[in-house]
Amino acid sequence: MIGFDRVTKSYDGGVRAVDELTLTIHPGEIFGFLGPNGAGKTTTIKMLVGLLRPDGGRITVSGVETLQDPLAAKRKIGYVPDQPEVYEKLTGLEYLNFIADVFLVGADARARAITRCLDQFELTDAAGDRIQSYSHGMRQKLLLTAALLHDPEVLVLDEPMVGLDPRSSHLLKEIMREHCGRGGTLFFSTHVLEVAEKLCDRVAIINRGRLIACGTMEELRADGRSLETIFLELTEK
Amino acid sequence: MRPFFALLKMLFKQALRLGPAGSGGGSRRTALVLLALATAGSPLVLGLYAVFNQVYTLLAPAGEQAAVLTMAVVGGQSIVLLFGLYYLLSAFYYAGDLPLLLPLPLRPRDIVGAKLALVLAGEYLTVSALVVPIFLVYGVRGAGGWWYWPLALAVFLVLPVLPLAVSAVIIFPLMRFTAGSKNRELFRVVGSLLAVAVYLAVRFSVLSPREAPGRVGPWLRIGHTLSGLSWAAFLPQAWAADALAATAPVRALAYFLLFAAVSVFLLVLALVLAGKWFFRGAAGGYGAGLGRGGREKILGRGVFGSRSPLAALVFKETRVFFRTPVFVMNGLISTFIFPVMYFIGSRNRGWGYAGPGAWFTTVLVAAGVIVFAAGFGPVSATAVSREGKMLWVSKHLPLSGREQMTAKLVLALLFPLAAAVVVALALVLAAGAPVRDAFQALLLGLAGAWPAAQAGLIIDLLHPNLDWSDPQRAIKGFNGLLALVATVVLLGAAAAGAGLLAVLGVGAVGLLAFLFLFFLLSGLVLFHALGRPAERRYPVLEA
Ligand SMILES: Nc1ncnc2c1ncn2[C@@H]1O[C@H](COP(=O)(O)OP(=O)(O)O)[C@@H](O)[C@H]1O
Ligand SMILES: [Mg+2]
Repeated sequence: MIGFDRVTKSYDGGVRAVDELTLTIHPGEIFGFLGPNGAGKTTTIKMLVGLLRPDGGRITVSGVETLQDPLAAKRKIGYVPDQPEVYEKLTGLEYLNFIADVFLVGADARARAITRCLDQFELTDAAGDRIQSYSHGMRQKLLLTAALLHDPEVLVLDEPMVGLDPRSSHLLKEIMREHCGRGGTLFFSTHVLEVAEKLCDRVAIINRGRLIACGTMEELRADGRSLETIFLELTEK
Repeated sequence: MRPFFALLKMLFKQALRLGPAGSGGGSRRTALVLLALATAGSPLVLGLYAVFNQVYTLLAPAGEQAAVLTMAVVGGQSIVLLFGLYYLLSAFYYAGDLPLLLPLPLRPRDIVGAKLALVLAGEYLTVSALVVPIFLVYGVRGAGGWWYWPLALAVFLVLPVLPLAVSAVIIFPLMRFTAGSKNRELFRVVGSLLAVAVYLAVRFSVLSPREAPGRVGPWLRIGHTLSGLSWAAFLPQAWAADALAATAPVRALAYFLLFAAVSVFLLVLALVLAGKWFFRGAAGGYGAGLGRGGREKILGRGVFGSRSPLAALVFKETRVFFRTPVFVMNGLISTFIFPVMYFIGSRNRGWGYAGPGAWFTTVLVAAGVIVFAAGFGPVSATAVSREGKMLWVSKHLPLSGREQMTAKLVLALLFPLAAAVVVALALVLAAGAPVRDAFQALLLGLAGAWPAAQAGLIIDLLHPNLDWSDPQRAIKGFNGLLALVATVVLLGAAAAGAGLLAVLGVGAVGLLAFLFLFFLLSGLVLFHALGRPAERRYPVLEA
């Protein structure tokens, strides 16, 4: 479960990147966070995973308030950022082992998880190489593997489909469904409407930091219009 | 010529942009930098002036005062050679700007020339700290003719050219011939350090006379007798000194022209070599690391060990640090320059270890060398900055800011620890000091290194430079300088306290005990002081 309660954030005292956002994401649902470029999606996600401190409001992750007990909240989250910046000098395997150590994943559990994920993503051959030799997509898949290692309750993905090849993208959708099938919570941002339309149980649309729509696909498309039409209409100036 | 100057201007701007990007306040920041430089540098320059003024007084009665000029030239050129290796590597190989520069309509010659000019500017700055005070001493004491001042300026300008060319002759082939190898980053760091070691060995073993000490103490003699040696590569150093010391203007000019001609010739040679080898040495992708060995080999047994979170953090920090060549070079040079000089000084006697009667001074000086190894802050004052855009990784982990800082502190203390070992070995092996003295120096030095490293860490935590894509930017900046200022302040406070106690009649043992306790106490205070920014500042840092 993820709860945003009147969460607000502005950069350097400027305009509000996120403005009084209130939103609840339930366990077992795939939740899509939509909005045009610069709407405030990444800012929201960074506050959720503890990279940014909100100016006001509360965020809870499975009942833990992120500002009260940040470490407990972080333990429940698996996160993949939009830019896969990662220690280039480590090998893929060293990075995964590092993450597993920090999230207290035992040796057997990590061996199983790493082996399975790397095979799925066809990264096994490259696992012993320095990350600096990885392509953008490979780095993303590595970070996804890292995020899944400790079997988090809440999976948070920022623009996860960007940069993935069709096979990996398909696989990612499988993984997302699987995660929710086991009762996990999934929160991901995207500006690609087709993905959201096919995959999501519920979506929220944000524009200039404000939540402007939220509901199931059926609710949003009540009058038979496509998500695209609704999106364009709602995010117009 | 226009594109060349545009490039040169851009490179200089890049090099002068200290500290966090976009923090604005141009002139005020520049003033701050100058102030910090003056605080950190003025004791050195003033100290050197005083020392060489004294040396001049010692030498003058024997008519040997010109030896200070030889020391300036030889010492200056040695410094240029050492730093030249590092500056060249930084500017040419670690800058990582080739992919940006190559598509531009620049001739290879322009790129190489502009980068060399940048390196040369850095050398002038570095070498001036030693050479300017000495040249001033000689001029002020009035030993030279009317032509001394313009000639001194000219010699200063030509001085770094020759050793820089020698560095280039070492570096460019090294880079060229390691370009195809899988572990080339390792080879290159090891190779250039080896070159430094060989240079030092040659410079101080083969060339330094070990025979009977004369009036002026043997270490002064090294510089002087060198002018009498006819070792081809170092002849020009003698010419430069002879030019300045000459009693007739025609003679001075002749020596200077000889010196300048050789320097320029070698520079041209270096340029040709660089043009020939630089682009091929820098080309090629990244090292592939462990390489591929089939699934079994990559995911085999033993690959999935587990560590405690803190140990995992320390390992990660250490690996990233030691696998980034520019971090390693910077860390090693800043940490070991003084310990190695101390070792060499001890070896030549009369400098480091003053004999059994002076154990107190010996311990103090040795400990000071160790504290300064931490004080330059190449590891501590860059600890947070080095995270750069990868800061999100650390911040999304379920670890407190305190744990993060502890891991960084462990790595930062590794360096003064190694420096302490070098200093202790210098005392025992090279100077023949008793093990007990070396042990005291080691303990005292490490006690002082602890607060110094923590000060660097706090400084970097408060104003990290996270906005970089070239790792050089992470370590180049204001914070190292501030850390040095903090160390000078720490040592100043310690010295003031000890001085006061000495006036009150406290003996040597008591003073050492006071210093040790003072360092431990400052260490504890700073350890607590670190907690606050670690828990308050670290969580709100944004990459
Ligand atoms: N580090 C930053 N400093 C200042 N403004 C920022 C920063 N990051 C984002 N912004 C601004 O905040 C707004 C929201 O950005 P972001 O959350 O990245 O949007 P999205 O992910 O939806 O594209 C934009 O107007 C952007 O310009
Ligand atoms: Mg975004």
